[in-house]
Amino acid sequence: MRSLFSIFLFLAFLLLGGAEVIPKLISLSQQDGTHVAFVIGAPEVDAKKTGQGFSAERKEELLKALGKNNLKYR
Amino acid sequence: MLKVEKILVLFIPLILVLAWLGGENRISATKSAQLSNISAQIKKLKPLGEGLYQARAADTTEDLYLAVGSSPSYGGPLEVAVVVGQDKGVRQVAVLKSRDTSSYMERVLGLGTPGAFIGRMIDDLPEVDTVSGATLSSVALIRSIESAAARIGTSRFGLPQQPEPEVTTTPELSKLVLITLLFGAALWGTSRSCRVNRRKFRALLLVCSVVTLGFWFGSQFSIATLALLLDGDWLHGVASYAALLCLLLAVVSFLLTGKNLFCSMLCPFGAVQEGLGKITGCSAPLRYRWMTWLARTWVVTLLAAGLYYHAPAAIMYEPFGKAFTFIGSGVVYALTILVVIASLVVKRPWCFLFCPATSLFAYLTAVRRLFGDAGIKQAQLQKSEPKEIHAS
Repeated sequence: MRSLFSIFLFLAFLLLGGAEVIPKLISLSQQDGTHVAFVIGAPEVDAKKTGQGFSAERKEELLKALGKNNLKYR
Repeated sequence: MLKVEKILVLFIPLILVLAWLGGENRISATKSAQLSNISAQIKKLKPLGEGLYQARAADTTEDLYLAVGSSPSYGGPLEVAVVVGQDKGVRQVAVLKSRDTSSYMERVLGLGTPGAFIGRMIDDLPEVDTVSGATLSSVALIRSIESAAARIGTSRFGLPQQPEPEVTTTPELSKLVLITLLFGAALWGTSRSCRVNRRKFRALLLVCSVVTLGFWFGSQFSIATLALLLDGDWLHGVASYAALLCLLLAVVSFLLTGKNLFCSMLCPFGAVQEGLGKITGCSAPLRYRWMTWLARTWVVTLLAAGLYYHAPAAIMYEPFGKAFTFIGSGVVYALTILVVIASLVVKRPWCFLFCPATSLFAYLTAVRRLFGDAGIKQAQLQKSEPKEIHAS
């Protein structure tokens, strides 16, 4: 039983660790060194070149917190 | 020592060096290209001096000034660009480079710290509060913006040069002194000269460590700290050297004495797990050989990725931040909950199964063996390290 639980825990740690890190690494792999991590005050900014490096899930919360539509974030 | 182990001890640093060099080659674009990406409004960018540029607004043909400012933050220098119009008004603020853990930066950006500067005159910048829970990142962001605005103000608008803000070093120094004292106490606690009850002394030290390294300083070292150390960017300044010092003292004390002082006597997260395990009196989990090697491969792969992308914070996955400072993503939250629950069933599950520090000290043990350290004492190692159980 302890053996099964140990295996389960190890795989769960690996899975969750991977879920945390791999999206960030994929995002980094798509950058070419000229990206901008975050911009405010640029309504027409090209989203493809900005905001990478931060998780996408915060986009809506950020827009809400800032109360502005002039933020491109992903 | 196995032949394959000897090869790996030499091969792993080679992989990491190649990854770092590969990352250096990868960054081929210029700063101008990056600044042009701040806004489609920025056209005809030309340098005026160090960290200072002039551009033309695309639709109004107004002259714009761009300046780059930087300040040491938690994970290394934080770099910011500020765009200012002819009326001295701040048009855009862009974070060009941040090596801080994304959860902390998201907190700072989410609370609108850079937004407070938009539309303000550079000779009348607002006093922006720091963000609780991400103080170092928010201070670095504010100072970077102020530094960039001051660069434009003095060189283009003849504003008087502002004195550099005083850097308060006392809290940082006291942190470093306290960490050194904790390691000194741990070393004394494992020495022959220690006459006090060792179990009680260890328990006291672990409690002190949870309070100071865990909740107070938030300076438990992680895989990101190791990547930061190897990457070398900390030489350009970081806001806090506490985690780096922890890592250095842990490695140096291990190499010199063979004692894993950090994991056995000081690790706050280990202490929390152990405390929970005491409630149920559980025993350590089984760790099969394939788990050991998979965990080690995982650590080396992540370190190589962190060095290749020059982004140490991106490879952090440990639940320390969530456990002690309550900052982290949903995935890290799930991981923290899992570790807490599992700690009631098996002893120190994270330490035994997946902590990168375990792989680090296994590597350092192999290094000591390879370089013929006659003074290594296996008995000391077994005493000071959490005992691993290897099932075949």
